[in-house]
Amino acid sequence: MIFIAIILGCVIGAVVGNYAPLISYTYSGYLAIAIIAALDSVFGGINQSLQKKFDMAIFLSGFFGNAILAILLAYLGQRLNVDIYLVAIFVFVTRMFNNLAGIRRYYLEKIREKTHKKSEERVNSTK
Amino acid sequence: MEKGKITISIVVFFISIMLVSLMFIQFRTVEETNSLGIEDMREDELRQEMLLWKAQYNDVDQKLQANKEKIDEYTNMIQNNQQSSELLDKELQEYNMLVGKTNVMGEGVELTLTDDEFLSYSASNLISLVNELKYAGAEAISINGQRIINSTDIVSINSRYILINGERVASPYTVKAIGNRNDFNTILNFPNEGYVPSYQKRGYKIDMSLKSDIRIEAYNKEITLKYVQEKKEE
Amino acid sequence: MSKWKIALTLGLVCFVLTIGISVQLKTVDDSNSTVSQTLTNNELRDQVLKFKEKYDKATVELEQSEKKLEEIRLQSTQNDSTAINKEEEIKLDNTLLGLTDVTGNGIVLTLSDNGSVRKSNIGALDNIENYLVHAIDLLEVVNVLKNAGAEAISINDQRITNFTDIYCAGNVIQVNGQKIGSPLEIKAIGSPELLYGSLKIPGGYVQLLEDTGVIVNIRKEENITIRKYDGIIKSQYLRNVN
Repeated sequence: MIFIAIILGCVIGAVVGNYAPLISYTYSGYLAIAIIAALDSVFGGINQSLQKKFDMAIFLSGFFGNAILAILLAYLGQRLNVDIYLVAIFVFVTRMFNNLAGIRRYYLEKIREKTHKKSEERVNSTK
Repeated sequence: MEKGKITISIVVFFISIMLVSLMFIQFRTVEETNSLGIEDMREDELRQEMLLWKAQYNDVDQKLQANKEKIDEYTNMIQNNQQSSELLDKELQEYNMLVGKTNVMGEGVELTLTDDEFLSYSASNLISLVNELKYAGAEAISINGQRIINSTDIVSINSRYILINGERVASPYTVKAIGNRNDFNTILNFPNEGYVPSYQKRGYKIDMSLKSDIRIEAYNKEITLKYVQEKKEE
Repeated sequence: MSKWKIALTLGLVCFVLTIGISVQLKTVDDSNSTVSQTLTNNELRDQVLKFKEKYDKATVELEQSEKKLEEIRLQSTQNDSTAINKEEEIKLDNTLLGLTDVTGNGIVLTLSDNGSVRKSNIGALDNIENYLVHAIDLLEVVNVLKNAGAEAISINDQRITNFTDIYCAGNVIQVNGQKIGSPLEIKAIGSPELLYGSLKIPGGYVQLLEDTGVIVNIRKEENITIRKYDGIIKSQYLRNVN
């Protein structure tokens, strides 16, 4: 069900995005950072739900909070003449990799368990 | 448990809509930016680019408004069961004017190019003059009464005669063009580089006068197309 | 450390920090630094994109309105027997002006700068300019094609209309105000034999180009499509007279 919701959401989002007006060049830089931040939260959410630690409040606040914080920091950096957005991207991408690693590990373990069980069954049946 | 799952699904649904739509907007913005190549432009280049697009937009918009007006007029005619042949005639006249099938008047420039015993104008000289005039925004051009239309060719027969539209013309060449007088003046008289000064420097005889009203004759033959077909839309 | 001491230090630190930030903001705003330059440049980029988008939208609308106009014109003149001829003539005019996509047989001529020639390997008496295609070359070639009866011509998809200028802008050629570069693909619709022959004529302009070092490729082709002129053809100064 969640899976269906995700796919449906993605399709509708793609359509909406294709027909929405373009945003101006200045904001597109901020939007890029916000997207990276949001993506990070999404991967975090998937990872947490796999570990059975998913918390809706944490997920939602992270999704919006991170995006907004990233935009604000990027804006501050722009005004202060420091490229803060580079660091923000660095942090978010690092975390994304960590979360992806978590997801990967989870599935690898699951597969391993399955094969282990199968081989055990085989051993049992031959006995 | 089931209820929790439903809320999660709904939230996830909206979140993915938001994220993906934002991503697609961003994709498109980046694509446009790259296709225009404005990422690496300097300030003056950007300014130019901006003015260019603005001008193009204004042109298209004007035409669009004109079309809408025409559509409205036709619709009115249909509703009132009136004859719309007048309207059609008007439209046809407009098109014919742009093609060069009508006599036209307007402000512009008149150049006189005269051969002498040492230097005579070649077809190439006239071709580049016509090109300069078009660059300056000429809306109608004629050389010795021969209207320059899109299919007009200018070729030399010998040093004395030139063929324009298949008709023989000879010195003195009277080149008339209708358009913005100031633009003609600045472009043709541009110091050293402009057409008039550069030819004068090389010894050619050329006179130029700006006029408030010039008459240019129509192209006097029938224009037919034998090889070209309008592309049908698939 | 007591509570008020902590509060005091925090307050002081914040005070200093705020001063620092505001000073920095002011300097960045005032100075003609790279930051403020990027800011103005970004604003310009915004505007470019904005006008481009508006232009794209208006172009689509324009195309629709053209179609609608044609339909309604037909509809309103149904009972008029002379109207059909006039409508046909408007269509013909549109094609003559270069405002329609057209197809037909003809030739495709490709002119390319000779990239193998460089400053380092060129002869002392030779000129590198000879190996490049110039605006004047295009003008001459277009004239040759018109002489051979070409009915529609385009250079790198820029339609040659009666209002088209071909101009040298620095190192690039502009046709209809749009920059184009080598290789230049010139399409022409007309009698393939005549067009081909006129380009191949001994001592002709194209042969001259080839001799000086430009790479030339001519081929006859069937069903060439030539795109319409994207811009608007309008007149501000003309008026019809008898």
